[in-house]
Amino acid sequence: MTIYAVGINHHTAPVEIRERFALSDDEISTALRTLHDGILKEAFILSTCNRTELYGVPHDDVETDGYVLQDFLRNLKPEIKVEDRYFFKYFTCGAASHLFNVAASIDSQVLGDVQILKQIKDAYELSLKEGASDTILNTLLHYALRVGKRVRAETSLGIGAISISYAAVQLAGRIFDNLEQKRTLLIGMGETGLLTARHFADRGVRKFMFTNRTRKRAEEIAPKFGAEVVDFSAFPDALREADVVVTATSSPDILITKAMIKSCMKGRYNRPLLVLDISVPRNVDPGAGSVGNVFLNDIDALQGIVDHNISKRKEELPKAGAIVTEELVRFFVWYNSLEATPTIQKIREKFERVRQNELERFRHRIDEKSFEAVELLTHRILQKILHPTMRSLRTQTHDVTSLNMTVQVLREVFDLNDEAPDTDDHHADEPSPGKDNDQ
Amino acid sequence: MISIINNFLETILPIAYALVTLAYGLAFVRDDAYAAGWRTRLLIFTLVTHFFYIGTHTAEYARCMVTTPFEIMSLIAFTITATYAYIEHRTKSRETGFFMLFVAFMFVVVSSVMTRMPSVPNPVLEDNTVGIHVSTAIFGYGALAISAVYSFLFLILYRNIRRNTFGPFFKHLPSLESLEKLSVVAAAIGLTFLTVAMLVALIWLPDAIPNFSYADPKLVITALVWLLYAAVLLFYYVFKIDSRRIMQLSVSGFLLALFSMTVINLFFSTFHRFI
Repeated sequence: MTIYAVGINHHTAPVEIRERFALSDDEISTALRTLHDGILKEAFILSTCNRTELYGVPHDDVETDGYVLQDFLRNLKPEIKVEDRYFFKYFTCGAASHLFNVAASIDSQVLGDVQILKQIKDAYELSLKEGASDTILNTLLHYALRVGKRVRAETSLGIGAISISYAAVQLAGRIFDNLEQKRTLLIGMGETGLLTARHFADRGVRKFMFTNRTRKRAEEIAPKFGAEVVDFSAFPDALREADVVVTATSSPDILITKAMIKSCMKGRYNRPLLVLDISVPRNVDPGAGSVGNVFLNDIDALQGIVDHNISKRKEELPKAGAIVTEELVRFFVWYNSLEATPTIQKIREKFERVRQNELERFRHRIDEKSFEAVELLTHRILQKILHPTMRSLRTQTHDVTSLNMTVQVLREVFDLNDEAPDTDDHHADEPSPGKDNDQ
Repeated sequence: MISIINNFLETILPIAYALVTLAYGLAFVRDDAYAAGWRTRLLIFTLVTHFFYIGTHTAEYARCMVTTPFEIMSLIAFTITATYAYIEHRTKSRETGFFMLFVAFMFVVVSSVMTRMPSVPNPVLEDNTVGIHVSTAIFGYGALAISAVYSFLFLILYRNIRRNTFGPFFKHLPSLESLEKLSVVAAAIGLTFLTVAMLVALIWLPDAIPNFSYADPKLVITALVWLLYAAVLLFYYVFKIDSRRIMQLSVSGFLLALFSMTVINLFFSTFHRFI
């Protein structure tokens, strides 16, 4: 009973492979159905822009191995030539550990990425919908989701902006109280400028003014943000109304001088003004930053915020790693108990059979009332004899070698080796992750 | 019995303030989860201890804690802590706790070290008007202390942002705009109470105290404090000057008030000493 994890991700494959290999929900559903009807007892596929990973429990460990699953995955996109070296393959402990690291966002390209947990949840729901996951993967995923939640709640791994454009929003949040009420002037309609505007819009900013040398470009984009278009020649006047100014142009010249800032500050009664110059070369006179209540930050300053936040996130890695280890141990205590479950069941059945047979022989020798008392008595004796054995088996689930030895001894002592264990019936002893199961 | 309890509370009060300040400090600077978990409980313990200390102190000496500036400092510390606890309870924001409690801690330490009891209470203190004067002055100075803490935090954050330093202040503190508003509102409340305290004093003191003088250093400094905070409000609401200058003024006003409470009372001859 092996858990496999096979796939490609940003550690193993370049972006041009990853982006083409990403699967849609429909493609995942089809793949899950095919797998479940064929080689896998349980299957789960996670596909994002940075990873396409298949987790599976095969019907037969001999016939289905990591290479078979790798070929299956490769054949989902036959038009892309994905070499063997782009795939990773993990088994059981490695597979569980990898999934937990993904859920903890330790494995993410952007350390502490907050999206991944939701992506795992969505992929799990898809797997449930297709009926592809069962006891083992369900439990594995419950534990993985719990890892993700605990890392969010108990560490600061996802805290702080780690992109220039988002750092700009974080900085604005440290200056202004109600950012939603502030007016943002965007000079230049380049990609970085628009990304910054998008982050401001996500933060609730609704008052935008856009200006560009080519007015038409500003007019095309403005409706998406509900922005007012300002003529490029008139932007110095707009400075007076703005609380945040973002310059993101390819102009090699200084567009905003210190004199312009000084003049505008008089007109705005010294209200704070945040100027984010994310152009290279810079578009704002560095001297403008010396004017009172003006906060001028260029791309290096914003990079400083990003670097600081990244180093802070890295400091959280040991805490997140400890959570992963803790949950891995818990998961494997349960997983190892699956080895013991069939034996426990067989012992119970055998003893029960002996009891029933002996009771049947005894039935006609005593009256009905006495028989009930004897039945109860033998049941209790049986429970008391079996209880320590069962408890001993369950407490050994943290040590597979010791557990296997005990199972073997018990099977020989009670002569169970002739009876094939029913490995499918694991449900009875499956511990539930309890409160954390929100699926 | 009361005396034993009072002495015990007097001893543990600075320790409680030190612990709660340390807890808030560790949570702020190091993001210490253990300290963060304990800080609010310690705050409640400190407040309750201080409340009982005021009670036992009053019971032991059979009069209100207003005889010496150091007793008043203890009451100001209590006012600051209680106000902060209320703000924390309402806003669930604990970022400024370390700074508020540090100021309260300093007041408590000075108060504990310097407390000396007059053998015979000054008869001036038996006048009922003193109650209005002292209570408004305590609320006034408490609010001004809070205003100064917010102003100080504003100046640190302002400097951090201008110098691109993105440490714990940048990470934890509220926005500059919030700090400025909180500081100005606290200053307005403080100034109102201080005005009432001064008016009551000006009406009552000339008759109550034989050696009363308008040139008394305590009175002059208090008038200067009042003028500084009046300027803070004027510059903020009317002239709308650079926020940094307003915040500097607020901090200066509080430092002057502190100077008046300590140095003037200790080293200058003033009618405002009742021991």
